[in-house]
Amino acid sequence: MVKTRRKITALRVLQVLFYALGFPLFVHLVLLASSSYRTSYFVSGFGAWMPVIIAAALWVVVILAQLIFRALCRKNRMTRTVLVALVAAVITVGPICYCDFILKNDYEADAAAAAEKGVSLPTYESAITSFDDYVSATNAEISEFIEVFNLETFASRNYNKGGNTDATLAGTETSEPPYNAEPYTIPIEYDEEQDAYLSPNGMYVDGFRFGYRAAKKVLTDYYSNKLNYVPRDGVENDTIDIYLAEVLAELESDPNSDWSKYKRGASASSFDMEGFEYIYSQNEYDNAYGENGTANKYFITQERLDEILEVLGGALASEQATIDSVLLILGGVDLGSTFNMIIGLIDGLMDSLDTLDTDSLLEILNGTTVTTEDGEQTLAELLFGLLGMEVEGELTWADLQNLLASTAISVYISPSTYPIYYFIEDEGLRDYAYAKYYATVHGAKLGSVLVDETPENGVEYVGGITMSSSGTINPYTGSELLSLFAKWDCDEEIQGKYYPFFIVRSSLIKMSAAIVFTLIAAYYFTSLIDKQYAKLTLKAEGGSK
Amino acid sequence: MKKLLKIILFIIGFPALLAFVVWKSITVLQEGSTYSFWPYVGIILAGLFFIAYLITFIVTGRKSKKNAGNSKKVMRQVVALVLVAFVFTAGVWLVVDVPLPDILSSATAGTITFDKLREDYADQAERNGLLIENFIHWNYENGNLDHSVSEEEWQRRGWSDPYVQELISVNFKSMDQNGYATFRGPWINLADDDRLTIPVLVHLVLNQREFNEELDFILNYEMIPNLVQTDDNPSDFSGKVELTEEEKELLVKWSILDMQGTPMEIAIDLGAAGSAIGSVIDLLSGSIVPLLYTLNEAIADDALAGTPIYIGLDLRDGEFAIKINSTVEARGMWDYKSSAWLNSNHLLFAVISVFPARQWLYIWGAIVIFASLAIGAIRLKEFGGKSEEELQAEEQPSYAPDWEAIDAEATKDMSPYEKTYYYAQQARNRR
Repeated sequence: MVKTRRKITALRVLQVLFYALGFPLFVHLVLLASSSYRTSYFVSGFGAWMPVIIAAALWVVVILAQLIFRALCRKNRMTRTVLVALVAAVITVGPICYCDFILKNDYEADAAAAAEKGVSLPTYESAITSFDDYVSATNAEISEFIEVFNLETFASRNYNKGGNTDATLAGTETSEPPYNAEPYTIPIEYDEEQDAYLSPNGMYVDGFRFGYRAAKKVLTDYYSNKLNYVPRDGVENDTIDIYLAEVLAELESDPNSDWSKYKRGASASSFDMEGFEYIYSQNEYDNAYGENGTANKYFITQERLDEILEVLGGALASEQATIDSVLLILGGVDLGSTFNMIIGLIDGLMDSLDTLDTDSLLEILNGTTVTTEDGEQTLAELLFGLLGMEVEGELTWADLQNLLASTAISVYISPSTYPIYYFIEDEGLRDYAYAKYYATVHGAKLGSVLVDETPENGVEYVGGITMSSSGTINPYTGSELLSLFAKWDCDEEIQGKYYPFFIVRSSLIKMSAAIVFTLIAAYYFTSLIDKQYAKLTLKAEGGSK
Repeated sequence: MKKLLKIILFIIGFPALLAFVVWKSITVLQEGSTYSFWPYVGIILAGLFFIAYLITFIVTGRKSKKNAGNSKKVMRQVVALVLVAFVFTAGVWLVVDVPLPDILSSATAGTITFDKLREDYADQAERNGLLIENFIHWNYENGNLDHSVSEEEWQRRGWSDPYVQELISVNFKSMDQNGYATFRGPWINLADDDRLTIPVLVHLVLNQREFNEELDFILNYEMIPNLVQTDDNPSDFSGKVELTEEEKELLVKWSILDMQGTPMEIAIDLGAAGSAIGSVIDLLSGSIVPLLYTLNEAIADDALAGTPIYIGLDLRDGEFAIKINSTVEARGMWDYKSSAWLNSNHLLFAVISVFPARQWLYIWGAIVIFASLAIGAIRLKEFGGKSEEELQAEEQPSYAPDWEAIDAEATKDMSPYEKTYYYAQQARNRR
């Protein structure tokens, strides 16, 4: 009896071992083969496990067949074994045939379509063997993109603590107007396609850090419109930026433009835009930018600048004698243009410290001249020149505001109002205007500059331009980026559509025969075990040994 | 001999594990020496596990003895001991490790990660020890801690002194509610995440904020910053002035620089003009210092930052840099994150102390399980009686037929030919 039991144990081990060498090993191999696929930026969650799910599904089908045949062919073990082996053979060879005879045609059709867009995809034979390498290569390209633009991760991030800056609370519930009554909440909407968090005005929320998808969209909108812009007839050196500036100026100056109507709260039906609707109410612009408006607390208004200058003027006035003596000494030393400007500015300020405000500051900037390498310049010209900008005629508060806005220092678009860009009629120009704002101003705020519009000696600095970092040299040109985006779009489609099958196929090629063989072997050992049990049963019934 | 072996196995099991936990916790205990029982939490936990194991060890030992001769019941005690050894070493952590990273991350707002503590707990303990050490040093310097007692004595008392606990709690509350909580929108989060751009800084300085006027802040002296640091005068502070009762009541606000803690340094490459500017500033330092104080006071005005920021010049080592310092050190505080840690340092020491225990419960768990199994095997030998196979063997007849005698009797009258035929027949039969 002991000997029989030992035999049963040995056979049991062999039965389990051979079964494990079939489908369980196959699923494990697919798990290993898909490890690189799971690291792909383009797959996540359920999709990342697709190869394993397909492999497991094949196994489940065979298990179901085993159970069914066990019920149908109770007595004929050999028939059962043959049928299960047949199912296993079909289940394992079938996907290989599906890949090689059906998917291959689809893949080649997609590759041909990609080629028309200028994207070269690997051949089918290359893709089914080297899918790991292609996933790694695309991942490396995207990692570099993420690093250059300081995106940190593929996914975007919303840094907002609560809601947007001018909302005291954020949430899914929207408070009723008026919005000056605090606290109020604004809703934030998540756009899955862009992987972006949007304010009620459809713009990215204040603390939105681009992820891959949003950065790609912004850069695509920016470069596709900029590079494909056709200069207007009769306009010398025309560029899309000149065109945009003109359109924006017109929207601002024309009292009948939709933007002007919006600012003064005209009725929605009077707008030229089709189907225009206010976000909340006709007063929304005034609520945000009027007296005590919700947005006024978050950028430098003229009143705020006056307040700051008054305090600074008062402080400097108390030290007038000291400053005079310092200026007297510094006046005799050539310290370079930056210091010359600062000294000239302080010198100019000294006469009007007690009444210092925005107007007097502008007067000083326009009226004080300093001598530089380029000759006599007003302080305004010198200041704008140092920032790589030009000032035409006298410096005005509007110029100063533009300066602050262009350096992203003081621009705040209320999440509860439409920006001026919303009212641009030309769709391409509108997309470009938004993209330009996001890539330069929004990006500069967040430390993810996407476009450097004022390169130094042709070198663009993008990404994390912060107090402690000057950013990264942009290695891409606009057209290179558009080509890369087209390639990555194809890669994303191909990886999601075909690679799970390619991975399963690669394991099935090695395992299909082994699966059928080990399954048959497991059945064989099962029959041997049953025979041994039969012996044990005979003894229990009193038969001879 | 068996008893001695069992004692040895027992000692190399859980008691040795406990010794390792204590040994690896020494840094945590030293750094948190003033934090009452909190740094001992890990050892206490391991001790409780040991007690649970010890009780199981004793109970299973007695039951084995009681059930001597019944191998099945003795085997059950062996299984129970091994199981308890596993559960109270690696087993419990395999379960706890699943939610622990998220719990730790949310409890510390992501500032202390599970991966950091998993192996590097000693370094974290040293950092947390430094928090209280420097806090006491700065508050001794600025007069918040009574000078009739020496700084060494304050360091010895540490967190265990109720006044130190009050100082930490009251001053952190001010920093939290009149500092961190007053920043609206994403700006403070961006600054915390190494995205302190100029627009972020401008927003953080100029955005309107609301303050809690009722909050106290303990500060007895105002530290006077040294605004022009040179090689001859490199110190951060040039003296201190005792605050009047009225000044002590003034609302204390906090700036973004206070939240960050670290000074902002803008190095300026002056090129050829460097030496000229250096000597000019040196010449003018008597005039520049009061000018900078005036400027800093203006910045502290509500119309600007609303809180002091120390703008100064750093002329050390022949360099020229504009240095913008926060007020934290002068006020005896760390930056916001470290201050938040300090405010919960006792709990953090408790958390940190768990990690050496966790590490060695994992590592030495295998030895404890082995030792438990070996002790079980000895008990089985001692009290288990006979095994199933032995019993089976006993079921067989205790004697075998004396074939030799039988054959001799059967063949005694046979001819040699008949004998040969008989033995061949028997041999075949017996085969």
